[in-house]
Amino acid sequence: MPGGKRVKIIVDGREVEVEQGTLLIKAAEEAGVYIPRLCYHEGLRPDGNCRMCLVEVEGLRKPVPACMTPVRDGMVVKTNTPALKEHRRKVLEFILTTHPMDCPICDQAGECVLQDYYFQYDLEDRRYFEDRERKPKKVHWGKNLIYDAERCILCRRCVRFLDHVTKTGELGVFERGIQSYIGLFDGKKIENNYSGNLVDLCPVGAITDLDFRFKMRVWFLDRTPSVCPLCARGCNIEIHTNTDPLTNRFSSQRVFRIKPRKNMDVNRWWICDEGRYSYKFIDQNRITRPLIKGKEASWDAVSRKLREIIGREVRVYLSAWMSNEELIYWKKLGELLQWKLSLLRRPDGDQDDLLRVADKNPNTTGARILGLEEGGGNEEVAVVFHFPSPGEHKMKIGIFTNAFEGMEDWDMVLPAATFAEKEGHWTNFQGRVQKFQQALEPLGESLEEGKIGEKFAEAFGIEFPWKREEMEKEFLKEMKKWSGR
Amino acid sequence: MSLVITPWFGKVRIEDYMEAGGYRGAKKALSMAPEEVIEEVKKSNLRGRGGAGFPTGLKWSFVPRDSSRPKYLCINADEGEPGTFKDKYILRDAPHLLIEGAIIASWAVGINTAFVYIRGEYGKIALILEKAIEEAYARGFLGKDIFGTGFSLDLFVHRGAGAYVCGEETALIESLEGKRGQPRIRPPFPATYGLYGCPTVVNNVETLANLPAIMEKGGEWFASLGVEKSGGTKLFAVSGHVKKPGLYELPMGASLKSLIYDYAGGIRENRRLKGVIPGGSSSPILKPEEIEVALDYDSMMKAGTMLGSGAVIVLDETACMAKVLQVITRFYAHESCGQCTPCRQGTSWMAKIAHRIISGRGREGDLDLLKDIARSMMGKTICPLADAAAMPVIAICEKYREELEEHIREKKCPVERE
Repeated sequence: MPGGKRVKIIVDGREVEVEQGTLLIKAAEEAGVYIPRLCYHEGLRPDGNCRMCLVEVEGLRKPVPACMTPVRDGMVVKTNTPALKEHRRKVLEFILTTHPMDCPICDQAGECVLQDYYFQYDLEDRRYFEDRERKPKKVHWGKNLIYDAERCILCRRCVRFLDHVTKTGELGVFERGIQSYIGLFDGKKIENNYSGNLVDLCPVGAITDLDFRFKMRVWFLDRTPSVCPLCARGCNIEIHTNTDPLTNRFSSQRVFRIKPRKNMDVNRWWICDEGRYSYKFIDQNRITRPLIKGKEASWDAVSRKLREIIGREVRVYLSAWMSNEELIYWKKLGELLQWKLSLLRRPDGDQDDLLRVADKNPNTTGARILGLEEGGGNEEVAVVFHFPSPGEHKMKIGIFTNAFEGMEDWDMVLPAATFAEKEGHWTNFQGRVQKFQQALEPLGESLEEGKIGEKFAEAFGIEFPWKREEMEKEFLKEMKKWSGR
Repeated sequence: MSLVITPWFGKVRIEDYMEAGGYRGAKKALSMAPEEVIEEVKKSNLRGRGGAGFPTGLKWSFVPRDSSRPKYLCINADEGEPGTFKDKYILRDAPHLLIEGAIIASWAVGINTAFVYIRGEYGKIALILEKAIEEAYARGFLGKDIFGTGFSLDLFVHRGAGAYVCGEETALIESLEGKRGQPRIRPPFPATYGLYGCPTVVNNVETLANLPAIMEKGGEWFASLGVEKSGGTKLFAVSGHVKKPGLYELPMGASLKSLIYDYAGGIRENRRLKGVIPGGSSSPILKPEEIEVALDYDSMMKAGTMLGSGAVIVLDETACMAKVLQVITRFYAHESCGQCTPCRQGTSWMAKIAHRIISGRGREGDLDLLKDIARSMMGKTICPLADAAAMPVIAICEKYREELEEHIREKKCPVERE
């Protein structure tokens, strides 16, 4: 309700002005008061089932769930009375009565709401000495989802996500009371494009990710803000990596998972499964040394070899996976050396009305801003970025991240860094310039495309060093011209 | 003594029902303005017989008069509170009394579609009701243009699938919509947002069965049968250790002691009374010295218990209170829908402790633990099922503490039985 009426409420003595109809739990946040919650998630329809967020509202006889109560003007709310603190402890105790205390082998450990809240609000001794409930464990829900009903606290975030966000409705609550569990409806599997979000939504370790399970303790992960390259939306992500040999027993795996990063203007809280699970190309099947006619070579050898193309007709096929900075750098380099330029893109794919867009490249918009278009010619030499699919050329120089069939036939293949190994910006389909940060060092001898450009400039005997920040500014100038067109 | 409902029992066929004066109340109601009908019901001091005792006329007046969306009547025949069997008698022995009541309520609120949500266990009774509905359609008392007034009403029977919680009005609505039977968070209340999101009245069977008499003889007459704030009579389902268990209709405000001793014949085999659960399993138990109490909503509340559904469960000296505790806690653990944390976990935890006590594995401090669990559930959940589970536990643990402690200490039942 943008532009709605503003109302004043008092939360724990702090006055705050919010839009009328705002849920109390959000309004309190604006007043700087965090109300503990388990079932509430701002991206889902509130359900009010966990009872953790009960607060006292002046004039009301009973405490009310802050996640389901819209604010009214003049509301006076208390969130931290002794009775409420006691209530929260009791809710935690209730949950922990049947929750298996298998934290040491639980993937969620370290990012488990139950652990955090117990530490923060409860810390009481156990009073429950009965048998734990036996429920389905290790249930495959489809794709990468594994469900453990014993760990489940029945907050129903997963059910609500599938009911209201993807609208695919695969899950329901089965049985009743303490026997309740979340289950697949008959004949269903969770095969929608957003299934991985259930792992993020689950506040405990009830839904874990087969792709990540038992591979890494979460507290050993470094988290780098980045942007997903797999379509033109550019969902905001975090890349979770570990390169510490003491804690990473997988010698070759550096990236362990991709998580969404909230951005209300781009991807809100979610990412699609393609974006989540396609990270393996960062560590696997990489080209780590330059190849000349299929044989490994040094960068010095590459520099010498590059001199062979001086004076010949060159077409550079830039790619819509290059950053704004790299594109403008190479464009300028091409202009200096009178090269022809064109653009390569991943072909369009499927789209939906949630996040996925048809353009499967992160930076088509950036390339368009710079006037780059698809096409080709029959120039003698081709310099090709990322996609081994140009037209007829006598000499082919490729700049690639990953190995591909037939690369031995190329005159030169130069190893490029992946997006996780460099920093830069992409311009998404909305025209939003988004920064991705460097999570890892470039693998082997791979280099970011700007530095590879520098090698070309050196070979041609011109002074044109790769300065990313400068290129960033140059790009923004172009963008201003473009948006004012 | 004037009785309102039981005199109609046995008049199952519509001919018999009409010969005794049936459908006169509905006819009269339809000759009045809907507002006048509501006014008459308000005057009658009729309060909801499902257990909560909310004034019926007032409940109706919350429904918006002019609604662009259809309005619905949901008749709660999901009689599930342990000990309760009053609606069963009405449905089986005087189904037209309910149908007539439904016509009156629907006319008053402006409803053209009504549903009877009947518990699945009442399978044969549902058939009797469906037959009665057929008869009413055949006579033009249901369907289009009832009594030539232009008013139309369709009445459908919907069978429940065996969940106590579906007797809670919002869970009933969810279930009727074909969803999982679990209560909704209120507000919004059914009066504005009920079945399919439309204004809805949910009334108990017994409540509606009172309406024909109120229409025919007037609200004031009905009110005069009872006490100040509770009009009419009440059906009491007496079960347990009495000589004559069964259904009794008494005026509101009658004495509980008199119901047990004068009507139900007193305690069987002249044993001593141990306790009375006066209003269904969720009402706090009364000790023998507490039963001189008037049977109406307010007096019972004052006595620390509730009139509830009017299910009076009588326990004599052979009753083991640990067993009573076990039976009651097990019921609520089984029937909790599992939505709210305190109820889902608490009901089960209490049941496990009670089971342990009865199995001779009770622990010192279990009674305090039980009370603490019960108190942690009360007032903290979406619907009153948690309170219903907690109240009897607290009362039993407090009033029969010595016996229960002995049971825990001695690891066996201290109650002597032949």
